[in-house]
Amino acid sequence: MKNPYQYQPPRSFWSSAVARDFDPIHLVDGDEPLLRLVDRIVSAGSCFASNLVPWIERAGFTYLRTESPVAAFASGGENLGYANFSAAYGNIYTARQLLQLYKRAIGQFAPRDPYWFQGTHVVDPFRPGLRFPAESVEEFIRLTDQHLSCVRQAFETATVMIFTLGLTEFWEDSQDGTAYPSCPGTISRTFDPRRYRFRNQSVEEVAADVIEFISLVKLLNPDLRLVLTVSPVPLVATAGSKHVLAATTYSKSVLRVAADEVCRQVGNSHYFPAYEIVTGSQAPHDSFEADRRSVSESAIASVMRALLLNSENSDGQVHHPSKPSTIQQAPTSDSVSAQELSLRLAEAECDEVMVE
Amino acid sequence: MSRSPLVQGPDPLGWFGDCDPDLLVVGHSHVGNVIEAMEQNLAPDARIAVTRPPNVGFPELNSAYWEMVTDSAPGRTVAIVWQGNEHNAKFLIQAEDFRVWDSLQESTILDALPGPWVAGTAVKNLFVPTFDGLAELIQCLRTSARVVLVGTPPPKSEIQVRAGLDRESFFESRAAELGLQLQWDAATIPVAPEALRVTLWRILQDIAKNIADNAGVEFVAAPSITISSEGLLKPEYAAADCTHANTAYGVHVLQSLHLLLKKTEGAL
Repeated sequence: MKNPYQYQPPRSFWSSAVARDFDPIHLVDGDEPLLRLVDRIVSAGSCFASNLVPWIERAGFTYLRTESPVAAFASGGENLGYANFSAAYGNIYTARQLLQLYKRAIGQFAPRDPYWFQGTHVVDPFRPGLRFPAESVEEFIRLTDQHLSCVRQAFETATVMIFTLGLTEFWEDSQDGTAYPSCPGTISRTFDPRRYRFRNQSVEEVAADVIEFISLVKLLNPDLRLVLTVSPVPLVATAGSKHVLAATTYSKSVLRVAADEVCRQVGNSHYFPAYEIVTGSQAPHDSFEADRRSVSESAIASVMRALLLNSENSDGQVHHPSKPSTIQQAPTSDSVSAQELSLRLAEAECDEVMVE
Repeated sequence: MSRSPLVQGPDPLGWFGDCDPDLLVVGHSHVGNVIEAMEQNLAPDARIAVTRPPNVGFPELNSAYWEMVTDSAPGRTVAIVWQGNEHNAKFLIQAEDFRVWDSLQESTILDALPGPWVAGTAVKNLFVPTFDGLAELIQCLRTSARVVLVGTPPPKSEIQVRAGLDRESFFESRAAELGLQLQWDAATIPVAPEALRVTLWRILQDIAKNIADNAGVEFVAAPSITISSEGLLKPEYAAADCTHANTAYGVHVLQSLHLLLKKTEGAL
């Protein structure tokens, strides 16, 4: 009688799956394509999540954009990567932030402090670096309602959502639990220790937030598929007592386990191993730039190659991981442009870096 | 401060009006209604001169023009009419619907407009560069003269705009820029809603007023008597084209300037 390991495929063994012939495309579980050509794709997440957008658009997939600037006002772009995502919500670092965003969009959550006054501006606490803030409450309400309507439309008309879990640490309003994308006082407002408190989520909390989010969305969009990833980008800073490296390990570990937990509990959900591709012990030294935080272009390319080879190609086929790859890693002129764009996006300032 | 008589004459640069005026009215195309008022002897009984624009070339005034203004300014009041058609140039012909909040307008009107909301600060950001040079000009003139910044006329009703569209090749070119050349018909070409144009004009006026405030000079707004309750230029003050005001409007501008100077200086 064979022992259980003897029934396992080569990908189950380090010696055959990592030490030799490692290819990131084999990391993805299952045979179903992560992305289909007919998909309408929305994405959300931390800075790293914005990297995938130009790649999937270049590959011929439809990235759903429900909130685009009026053409006459588009030049100069938006601050802090807000416009990089489907509905200009900017970086969503935590599962709690995502859940609250959707709850605000469907009217299930109204923060006690929906706006902040700063000089002549009325600031959006959830997008405090917006390039063009409102100048009155009436204007703020209209701009924000419009934004939330676009958020709702994005999540409710997409066929697949890619959510990159970024952080477990966040700041919340101690009075009503409002979760902020950045610590109040770093981009806007002043920090009030009586009002704002630090939170560091557990596995259970992260999983519960993602599950509640997807459950709410599925009430109106039952066929939505979920692709979860974990950002490999370490924390800029921790507000806890641990060393930032240890805090990063905690945070990413929690997110990684929570992602699996969600995939176990939620149908039509898949984990895509961007985190492992970039941070696993097999990863090349140059997966990170010299600061050991910024993900390198080559690592992003490796992640995207794995994603795209596990998605439908232009023939409607999936490059099954067991088959030889036909997508070359060497960049073509088009993919160079995509890489350049990705780099620019990766380098763009985001809320999180404002804590430094 | 000592001053010297003006060089009169229409060509290529020169002044029209009093030989030794207290008030100089200068600037871009919206100064035209003041010129007409002066030419028709409808100006207040005061010592006023105005630049003759047709020989200078609107809408761009060259450095020779501003040198002439600067040279003539010492000891006088200079009323600057700066640009003022940006809302028309960019948005009169409308390729894409949008709306902008305006606390001075009925919310029900604005809420009923089509298109997405655009932040007023985004509109400002677009308009501000068209004021490049104005602050510097004011500071330069202020060393020897009193300076007043004059607001520009509000937008016209859609009926008046359409009536004037065929007179202005600029807007036909603008429609072509926007890909609307095949739709060029003054009666049907998409024109921005009146309420939106009023908001855009107000933002333009706010920028001008802020520049005046920051420079410490007076801002003379468009005469309220010429503005309808909807914020539009009343028909009786509209020139035949789709953006400019007429002689009667110019008379009110001169009266406003006259009144301001009388109030602050005792007499003009």
